[in-house]
Amino acid sequence: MAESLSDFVTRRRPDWTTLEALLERLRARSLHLDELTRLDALYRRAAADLAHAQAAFPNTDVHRFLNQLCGRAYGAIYRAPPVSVASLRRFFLTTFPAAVRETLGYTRVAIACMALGIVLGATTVALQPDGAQRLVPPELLDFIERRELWTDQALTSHTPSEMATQIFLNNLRVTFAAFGAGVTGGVGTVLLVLYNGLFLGAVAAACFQHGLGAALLDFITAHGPVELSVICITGGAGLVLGHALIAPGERRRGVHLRERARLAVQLVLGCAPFLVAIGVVEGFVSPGTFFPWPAKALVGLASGVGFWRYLLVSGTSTAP
Amino acid sequence: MTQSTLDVATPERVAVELPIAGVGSRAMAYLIDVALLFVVALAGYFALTFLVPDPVNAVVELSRAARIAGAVAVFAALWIYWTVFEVSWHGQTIGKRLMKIRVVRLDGSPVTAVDSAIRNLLRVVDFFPACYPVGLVTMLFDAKHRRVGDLVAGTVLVREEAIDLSRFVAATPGAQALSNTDLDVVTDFLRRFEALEPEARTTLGRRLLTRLGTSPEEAATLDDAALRARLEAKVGGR
Repeated sequence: MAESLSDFVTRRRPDWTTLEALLERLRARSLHLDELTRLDALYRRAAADLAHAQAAFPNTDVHRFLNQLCGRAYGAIYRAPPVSVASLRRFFLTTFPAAVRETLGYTRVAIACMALGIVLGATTVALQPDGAQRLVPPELLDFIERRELWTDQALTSHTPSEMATQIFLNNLRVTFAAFGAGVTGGVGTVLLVLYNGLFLGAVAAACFQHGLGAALLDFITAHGPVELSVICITGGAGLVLGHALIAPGERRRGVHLRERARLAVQLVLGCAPFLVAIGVVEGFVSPGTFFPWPAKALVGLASGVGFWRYLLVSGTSTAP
Repeated sequence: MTQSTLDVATPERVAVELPIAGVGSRAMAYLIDVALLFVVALAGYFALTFLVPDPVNAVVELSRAARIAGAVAVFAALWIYWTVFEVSWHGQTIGKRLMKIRVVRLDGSPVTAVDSAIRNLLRVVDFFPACYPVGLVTMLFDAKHRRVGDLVAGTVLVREEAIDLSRFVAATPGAQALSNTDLDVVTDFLRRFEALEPEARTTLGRRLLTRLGTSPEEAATLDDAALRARLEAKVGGR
């Protein structure tokens, strides 16, 4: 004898109300152990009720209600482990360096794009000094032609330091945009990284032409190695996305893309703290003459070598 | 149900169907969040004016290091806001909570930090070049109304529905036995009685009563109050 909708609700509703209350308390993190086992039992019963409602009362509000209730309970019970200090530690000691090693090929492509950009930018400006007007922003060129390095606060007014901030922001933007642009099939990433290299090469060549080369080297030597590495790694992350989108292999495009995105975003997340750290170096160590150039070179060399050693070695011996 | 749903296969072997949030509520939630961030930024700016007399000039005069630190902080706040809220608030930001929508993974489980990071880092792509054209087009074409960030992260927004079951009371002995669908529809109609537009209410009430066995001629003579009383009697009093 089939039970009527009203009788079903009247009979089962107390359990659902209890389950709702327990879920509320689970969110507030005030659940006792015995309540937790009760929640588990009630969820299974509600799931059975849902199965019954699907068959006996499809598309009624009771059916919708049970869908919501079971959806919430399912999400609460089958959830991924939360982020903890231990999981962060594991991420930076093992997962992130391993992800970098796994995607080294992509990073190499990004490095090649960047290098190509730098060479093209530099040769263009070296052979055709007028080319600088197209590649370097006019304000920046203005400073270079007045022989004032925009990075040197002691020399000039405040505006040049604004240029340096803009360059840092540009790098920050490129770092994240290079990842996002991967969804264009990698084309956007290649263009971004290439253009960034072009810009760097053109600026460097223009500086050398106006006798500011040494000053430029003095400025970039401390933070340059790590900063450019980070751009190339996140550029590589964008290429991972792009490659997954273009060539999913024998799997469905969406499935493959989602899995590779997980790997790619690990690169971006891992790079973020290093980007902040190198921003601090760029803000405090690189400008001015407080630190002599050998000290800056040492910082640059040590951070660059240390960064790559960490990426290539960390986690290899303890990997399961 | 004509609306699209996310079908979750649970280990209990029951398929849970969660209704998927549409472009409208998603856009509204986004606007609320952005408005909030804007208000916070504005409040921060005015708080700053109490400390320094001329903030605009003060920023210009800041050292480069301080300005880089500020820029990083603002950038981080803009990105971290979404991810921190989505991870710690079970897939909801403030705007999403107000709009009663929630981010879940395709298997119905809550978003992890990695999922949330992917979808929010790719917000830039959806926003490109301004005001979300990429995201909107993707949402219109995708059956689950996902933007690019959701497609890549494997996430989807579902609606949270608060459904009141108190209208389903045990049938009183004298009441006419209604089919389950009829009971659901009639009780829902009675629950929403006050909120419905009067003309639609009368038409709908007459049709329901006709469906339950009253002759159309008789139903046409009844006014709202009488319709309500008749229907309440059919479902067994409330």
